[in-house]
Parts: sequence; C-alpha cells; structure tokens
Amino acid sequence: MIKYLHKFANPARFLNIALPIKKISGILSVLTILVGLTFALFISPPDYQQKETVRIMYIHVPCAWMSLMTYGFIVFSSIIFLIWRFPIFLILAKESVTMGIIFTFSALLSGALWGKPTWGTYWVWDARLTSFLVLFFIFLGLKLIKDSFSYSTKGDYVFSYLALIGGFNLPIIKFSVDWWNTLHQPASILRTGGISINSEMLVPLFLMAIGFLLLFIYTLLVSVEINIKEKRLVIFKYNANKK
Amino acid sequence: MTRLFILFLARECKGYLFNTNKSWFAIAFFLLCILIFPLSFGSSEDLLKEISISSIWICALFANLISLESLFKEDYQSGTLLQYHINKIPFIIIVSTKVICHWVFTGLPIIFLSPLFLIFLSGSYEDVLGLFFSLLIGTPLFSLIGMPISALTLGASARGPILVFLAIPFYLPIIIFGVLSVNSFKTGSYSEYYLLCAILSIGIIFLPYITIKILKESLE
Repeated sequence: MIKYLHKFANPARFLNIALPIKKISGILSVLTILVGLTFALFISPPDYQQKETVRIMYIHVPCAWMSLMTYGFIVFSSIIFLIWRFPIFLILAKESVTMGIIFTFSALLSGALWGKPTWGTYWVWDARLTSFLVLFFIFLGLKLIKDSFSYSTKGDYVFSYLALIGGFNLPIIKFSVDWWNTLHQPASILRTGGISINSEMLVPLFLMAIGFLLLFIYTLLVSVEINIKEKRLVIFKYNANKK
Repeated sequence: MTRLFILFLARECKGYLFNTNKSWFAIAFFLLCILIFPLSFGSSEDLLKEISISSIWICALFANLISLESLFKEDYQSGTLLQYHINKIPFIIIVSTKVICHWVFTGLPIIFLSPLFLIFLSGSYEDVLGLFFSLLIGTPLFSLIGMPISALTLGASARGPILVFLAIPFYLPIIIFGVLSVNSFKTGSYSEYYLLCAILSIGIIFLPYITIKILKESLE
C-alpha cells in the first residue's frame, strides 16, 4: 500500500490524481455549503437562550475547526517533509498557510460578533481566545517566512521547523477550556461524555464543516497546481535559454 | 569534553566582555525601555504602581529580543560555525555555551537590577522577592526559546524584523505566567512558579537539540 502511494509523491503524478479531485471537491463544496446554509439559516430552530444569534455558530465553529485542522495538516506535512524529503508535502504545507490565515481570521471575527450579543463584549483575554490569537500570529509568521528566503531550498526547512515548533499551541487551544476557567464555553462535540447538542442543530453544523473542508481542499489543490506549473515554467525557460 | 566546554565558555565570555556593544547594548536598551513607562503615564502614581511589574517584564522581553539577533550571526557569517561543523566539534557544546553566556550577559543583570527599578517605578516592597524569582525562571526561558528562532532566521533577508515577529508569539506564555506568578506570590500560592519551572525543564531538554538540528541544516 505504501509502495503504491509512493509514486504519487512525484509532483507530476500527483497532479494527475489531484486535478479530478479538485473539480469534484469544488462542485461539492458549493453544494454542501448552500444546503448547509439553508438548513442553518431557515430550518434549524433558534436557541432557547440565545434566540437567533445562535446561527453565527454555523460559521464560527466550522471556521475554528478548519483553522485547527489546517495547522495540524501543516505540522503533519512538515514532519513528513523533514523525514522523507518529499517535495510535494512541502508544497502542500506552504500553500495551505493562506487558507489557514483566512479561516483563523473569520473564526476570530465571527466569534467577536457572536460575543457581543451573548457575552456583552467583543473580546475578553481568556485562555481560549488568547491562544487562538497566538495561532493567528503563528500563521502570519509562517506566511512571512515563506517568502523571505532568496534561495528557496533554504527556506524550506526553516518553514517546516517553524511549523513544527509552533505545534505546541494546538493542544493548548484544544484543552484551554478545560484547564482554565474561561468565558468561552467548553467543547460540546469532541468530548468524553459524548455529543451534547441537538441533532437539528448538529446536521447543519456538520454540513457546513464538510463544506468548508471541501472548500479548503479545492483552494489548496488550485494553489498547488499553480505552484507546480510555475516551477515547470522556470525549468522550461531555463532549458530554452540554454539552447 | 569538559575541557572543550570550558574553552568555549571562555571564548564566548571574551566575546561579550571585549565587544562592549554586544554586552552593554541589551542592558542599555532595558534602561531606555524602562524610561518610557513613567514618562508615558504622566504624573499618575497609582497607575504606575499597578503597572510596574508588567513594565519590567516587557522591558526584559524586549532587551532579550534585541540581543537575540547576535546569538549566531557573527559566527555564521564569518564561517566559524562551518569550521566547527567540519572539525566535528559537538554542537551541544557550542549551543549550550552560547545560551549560557547570552543569559549571563543579558538576563542576569536585568534580574539584579529589577528590585531597584521596581522601587523606581513606585512599586510595593512586597513584590520585590516575587519579581526576582519569577525573572530568575523567566529570563533563561526567553534565551532558550529565542535560540531556535534565531537559528531559523540565519539565512533570511531582512533578518531583524522577521526575528522579532516570529519570536514574540512563543514568548507570550512565559510573560503571561511570569506576571501572574508575581501577583500570586503575595497570596502564598506558587502554582505559576511550578508551571514555569516545568516549562524550563522541558525547554532545557528539547530546545538545544532542535537548535542543533536547525544549525546543521543551515550549514549544509
């Protein structure tokens, strides 16, 4: 199985399977997000305490999940790049940074807008919010270091090591609501006592999460395709000049 | 191994002692930074009293950040680091002597100056001991955490600003628990000290090895 997967580490072969996946995930993500939004905005019931503002959850929670998942993916790809030196994993890690910034920012923004009607404040310096802000700045640092090396091979390992060191923040974000008394509510989906949320709200939440995941895959593959083709163009120009 | 360690320690100390820019710059920057706080709060003594501990911590952080850039830069640019690598000198000696000297010349003076400046910023006498111990655990952590970041940015263009931007997010937990620990010292609870000590002991074990990995990669 691993030997079979090995050959897809070649960027050219990777593109062969990535392009159909890109098309399918692009179409599916639009459909899922549309269906999820109709469920979330019109069909799902308002909360007994928060009334209609609970609908912000259907944007906020998938965004937060996706930004954590994006960082986890970057750490995973960086480890694989550092051990086996597959170039495709480096490209995948580097190209997912921009999406990570967008997801983290929208999670912070929607959280602030949700906080005003429910907590009475846009921002508090509790553990969950602060560690999430730190994640945002680590993403920005990765984005900064990605473009600051004139010789790209040197920037490669710098990027992966920084992503690796920044991984310390992920468990802090996940468990910050358990370790400290925070204004942010504790986890209600991924917890030891099982899911504590009604299925009428759970279905649109998962639909939105899957839609965002597909959107992430689509944008990631688009930028990876551009990256690989740019590199091909450089080699093509180099060969043309040699002749 | 021990002989080599002492030799390198002496070399690093000489570098700090004879190059006055290197050793005094961090302290001078700390003093200048401290000056900002009383001036920017005008004449409100109460506000200054509230904020004196935090301002000393912030200045310690910036003094550390400023001196971080010169940690590996000179040896890297002159090719000394490459010569060490070729001659198979264990990197753990180089890294550990560098971080020890960095702390002794930028962290330690700040720790001993901190009680003086706490009074200078009209802080209370009760906080002196708490601030002293929290800085004693906190400043070596600053040096340790800054070390891999400093090694990472060795080849980058526009090095200084990037280094500051990358390092501050990793310093945040230390400054949060550092300031909290001073406040809880008065009430007799030491939980933040224990947490800082735990981070310090983990950092001493892992961070030098990560730095060695990064340095070796940058020399290839």
